[in-house]
Amino acid sequence: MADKSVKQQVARLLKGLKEAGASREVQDAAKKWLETIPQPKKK
Amino acid sequence: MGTPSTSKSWWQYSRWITNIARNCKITEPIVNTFGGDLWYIRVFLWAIGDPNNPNATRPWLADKFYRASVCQHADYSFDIYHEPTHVLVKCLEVVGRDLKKIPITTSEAMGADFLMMLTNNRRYGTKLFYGSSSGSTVTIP
Repeated sequence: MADKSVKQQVARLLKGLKEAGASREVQDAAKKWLETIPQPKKK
Repeated sequence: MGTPSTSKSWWQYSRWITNIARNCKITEPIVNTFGGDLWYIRVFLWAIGDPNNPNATRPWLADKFYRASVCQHADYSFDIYHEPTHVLVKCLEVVGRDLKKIPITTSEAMGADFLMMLTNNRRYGTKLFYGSSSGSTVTIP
């Protein structure tokens, strides 16, 4: 996992949620929440 | 990293998250509980302190996550995707204790709120998940 980019890690986590059988509501909320976390500014 | 919340008590969040972790030590959650919804614990931990996440909101927790790791998948260097539940619970406790140190940000609070919603009454000291002999029986509304 260490060699994966943040985008890939997020995609993997959301895929994991889906595969674990999480409800649509939880999947959407997790996705939405991950988007609210501020990202460091690009230099 | 993020705006500190001016309305949420980070001490209260710390108590709640630590309590969820303590509770999960007694009755370990099956990640498939509620149809797999508790898999969300991984998403929560990843965003807060996963050492592989360069944008983690509390990157100083990475060291503790590393030490908790038992997963051979990534040579014991913490892989949130594969760590067993008891390691996730340990990390949740670490996060819970850390929340008391500095004000919680609005986005962290949002994630914690959602985790608490999914874990029902686990954040309270009620009997449902504590078993018969351990934990407080104080009723909190």
